[in-house]
Amino acid sequence: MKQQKICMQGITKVFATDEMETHALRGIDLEIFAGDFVSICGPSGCGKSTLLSLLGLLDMPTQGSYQIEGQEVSGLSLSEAAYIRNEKIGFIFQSFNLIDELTVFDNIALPLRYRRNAVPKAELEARVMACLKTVDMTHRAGHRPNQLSGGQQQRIAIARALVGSPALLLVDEPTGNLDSKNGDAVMDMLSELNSNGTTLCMVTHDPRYADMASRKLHLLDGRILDAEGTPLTQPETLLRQVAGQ
Amino acid sequence: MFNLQDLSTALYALSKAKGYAATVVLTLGLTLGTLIAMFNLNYQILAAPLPYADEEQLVVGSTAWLDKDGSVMYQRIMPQTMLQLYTKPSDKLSDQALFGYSFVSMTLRDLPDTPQIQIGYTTPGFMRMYQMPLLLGRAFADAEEIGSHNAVAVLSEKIWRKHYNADPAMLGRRIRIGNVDFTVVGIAAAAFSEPRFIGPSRTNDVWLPWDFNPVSQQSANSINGWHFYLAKLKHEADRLAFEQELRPQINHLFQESIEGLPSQTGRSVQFNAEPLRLLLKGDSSSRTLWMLAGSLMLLLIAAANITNLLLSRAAKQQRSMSIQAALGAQRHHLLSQTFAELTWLMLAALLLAQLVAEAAYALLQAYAANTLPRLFELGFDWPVLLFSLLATLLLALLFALLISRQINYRALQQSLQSSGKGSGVQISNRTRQLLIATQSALAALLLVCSAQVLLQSLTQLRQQVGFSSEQRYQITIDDTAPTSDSNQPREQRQAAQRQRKEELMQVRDLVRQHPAVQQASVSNYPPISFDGVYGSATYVPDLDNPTRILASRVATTDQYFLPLFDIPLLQGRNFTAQEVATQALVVIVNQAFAQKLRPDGDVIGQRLYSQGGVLTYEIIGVSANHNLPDEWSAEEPNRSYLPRNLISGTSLLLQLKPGMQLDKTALNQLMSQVSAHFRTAEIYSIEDNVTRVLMSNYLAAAVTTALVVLSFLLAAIGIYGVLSYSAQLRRFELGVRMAIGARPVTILRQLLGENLKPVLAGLALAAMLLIALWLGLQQTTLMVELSVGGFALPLALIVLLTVLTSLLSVWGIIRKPAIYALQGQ
Repeated sequence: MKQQKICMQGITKVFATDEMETHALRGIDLEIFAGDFVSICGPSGCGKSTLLSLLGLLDMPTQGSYQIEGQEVSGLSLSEAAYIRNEKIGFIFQSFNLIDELTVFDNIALPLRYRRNAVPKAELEARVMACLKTVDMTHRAGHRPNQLSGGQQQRIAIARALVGSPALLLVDEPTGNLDSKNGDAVMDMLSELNSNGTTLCMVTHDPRYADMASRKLHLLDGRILDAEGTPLTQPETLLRQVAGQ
Repeated sequence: MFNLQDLSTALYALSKAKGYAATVVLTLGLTLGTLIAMFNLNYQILAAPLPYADEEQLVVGSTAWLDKDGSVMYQRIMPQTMLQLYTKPSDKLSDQALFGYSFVSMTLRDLPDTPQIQIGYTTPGFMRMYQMPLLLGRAFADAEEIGSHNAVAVLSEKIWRKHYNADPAMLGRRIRIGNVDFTVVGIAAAAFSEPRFIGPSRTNDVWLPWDFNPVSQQSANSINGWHFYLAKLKHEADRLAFEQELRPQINHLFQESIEGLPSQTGRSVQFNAEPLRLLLKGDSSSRTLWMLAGSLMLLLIAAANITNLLLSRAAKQQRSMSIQAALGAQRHHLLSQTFAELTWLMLAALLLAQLVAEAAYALLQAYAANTLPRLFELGFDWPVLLFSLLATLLLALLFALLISRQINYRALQQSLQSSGKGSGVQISNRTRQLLIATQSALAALLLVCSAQVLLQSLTQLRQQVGFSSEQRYQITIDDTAPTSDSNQPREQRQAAQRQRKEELMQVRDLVRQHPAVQQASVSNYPPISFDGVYGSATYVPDLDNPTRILASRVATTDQYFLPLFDIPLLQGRNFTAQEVATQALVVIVNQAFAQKLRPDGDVIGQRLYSQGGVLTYEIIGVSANHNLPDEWSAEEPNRSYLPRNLISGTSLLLQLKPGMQLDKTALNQLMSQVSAHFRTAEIYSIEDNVTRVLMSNYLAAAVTTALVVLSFLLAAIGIYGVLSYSAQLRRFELGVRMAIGARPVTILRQLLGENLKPVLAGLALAAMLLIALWLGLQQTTLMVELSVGGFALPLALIVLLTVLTSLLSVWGIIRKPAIYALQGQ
């Protein structure tokens, strides 16, 4: 039996202002297991990015339970969430989000430098170089991000996401800022990582890349749909909704 | 550059950013207003035309009194012999006058309340040269020239209104000053800006002809301060030639007058014809220029702040600029709105600055009128308005240039293409660091300089002055008895003096028995007089060396003086009643005097001699020094106390019991029991006298406190502004760091490390500049006492400020989940 990495139950997210409330997610139940490659699709405003933010502990749910490797994480403080994010989650953003002032090496090393327990220098160097090798960018270690092409920057972003050996890799439109050739190369790299055992959860608009995932989730109006387009909701969540809670 | 539409849009935009607009206008208005006020102050002192026609031809003649070695003993004194020149004026002059100030206040005896007034003795030329405007009547004419003994007076409008109800019939009426009746011939208009030859605090209430000046009766070898020979040159260029012409003549006359006076042998006088402006300015510009420098520094700090704010504003408007650029706006279109906003802000700041400057004038006139000249001429002036406009324009151009350099038009055009990521108005890291470093350096410079002055002033204010002043009063006595005739035999005059002294002692003893009175004494002057005047006496310590003369301030008094003021005796004893009654030849000196006589200060029993050795005094006591530097001496002068002649101008000194008061009527009743001639002229609080002397310290403390607070506030706003702006620009980057696991404290620590670097660089630069400044000041005559606390504390405060502002600037980002920073919220 596969190990459960992620378990979300009845997750809702409401953005409230003085004038109105926006229900971005309406009772999401989701399990992700080790080695899964999950893609999340849906139209703009359906809640994909919000779901990814909650998965990555970049934001906290309004309601519901969220566990990572069995640990409840829905009510963590900002500091505790940062530790979990650092140790268990890797991010790959659409716009790469590398830090211009740092070299490629330092960008990749950053997650290790934020570790709760300091990583010895030799180990840090070894892990960074290993990741650089994985993305075939060893020769660019001393360069700055603005000296690289978009595709190269995204490979560095992948290396940065991998360096901390995360339990889950969250990927947000990884090819959105790339041409098709570079986009294909990045997706090939992600597939290879998944085949080597890395658990992936990816948000994408591109159906071609979504089909590369082992599981496809469709999101509409803050709910996950089944193959027929019916919202998938756990019975107890449904009961709560009926009861008006 | 921009049109009405831009101005209208800018006004609307500013109305939606009230906090930003208010901060810019307040910061700039306050600092620009201070600079305008300080500029005006310096302009008035250094360059503004004097209110007298042909001012450059007006000179003030006086002499320096030189000792045997050529050193200057006294500046600006007038030997009696100079009067001879008045009768034979130089052909380089078109007009001339003599002018002297009364040393003591005089009494208007024709009025029942006998008010005290200040007298200026002069000749007709003074009123001609200085164009005294007359409200009524006439100025002095040839009929009032020297030797005429024409008893007439010109009153000031102030006195005329205050004491004579502005009665026009006063012209031709008689007033009584001292024991002489004068006919009023003119009322000087309040518009008359009287030249204040001896400093801004002294003005005159009544002008009398020179013949009634007590100085005019003195012997040929006498020398007086506060008296001047005023002249108007035919040509401005003749000043030095005039000076050179008179120097030998005056010195020759002086040498003739001191013949046969061994103590004066070798001494000389040197005539100086000073330009009027130079004399009136005095040394005030040395202080006012520092004030101008301080206000300029404040404006620079404010300018750095406003630059930050303007750049932040431009950065915030990036999206609307991007859209405009995408729609085809040219670079100048984008700049025009920013410049239109800047125009509104600068105009509002300029208006506020004018109000601030007006308030500063009012404050200066209220609190510094006795220390700085020409304060009452501060106000609207075309050159000052021009300066205000130029300063504002210069600042506006500077801000506009900085903003236009920072707006990257190409990046703006592209920013929409990249989904709004990136910025065309991001300010480079180096620019931000430079701004922080500049801000820190300027703030540190100003804070350290202000703190040094503040600490020095506070130290002076905290120090005990060396005598008690609370509930102590100086009562000046108006003696209406006929003055002794100098033609009377000496014995008769001495007998009259002795009688007067006995009467004064009786008054004192009566006053001592009054239930409101704790102690009473009589003396020529208290430790500090209401008008700053003191008596002086010279002594020869060694008859074998008669040319070594020590001058001292002297109090001719009784045995109650020292206890009344709680002045401690360090050695020896006080006078006895017997010594006071017999005018014994004993003297008490202060510690400073004692140490000049003997380095160990042990002088009890030692003798002092009058010049010529006629009188021999025995030192019976050594009193503690005072600690109250005044306008005459920055260090404690020699002081001596004699139980001898109580000359005219004697004051009654009182210590009242706590909560008790004594008015003129009660005092007059007591005095009338002894003599019908004694009346209370004025009652002065010694505490007020001390406060007046300390006013310059209070003023320095107030100005520097305001500077410290203002510069610290500005520094806080500025450093916060630039750090906050920097944090906003880095919001996304910080979000990325948080996304990959950086905790809030990690972010804070990192920012702190980064922010402290330019701050420390700025502080190091400031420290170097301060050291250079200090070394520079060592080459001048300015006395600067350095305080380690005054140096270290401001620097520590700036570091603390950086820590707090770093936390504050990033607090909005790190206290929220990372997604907010990533989404730019």
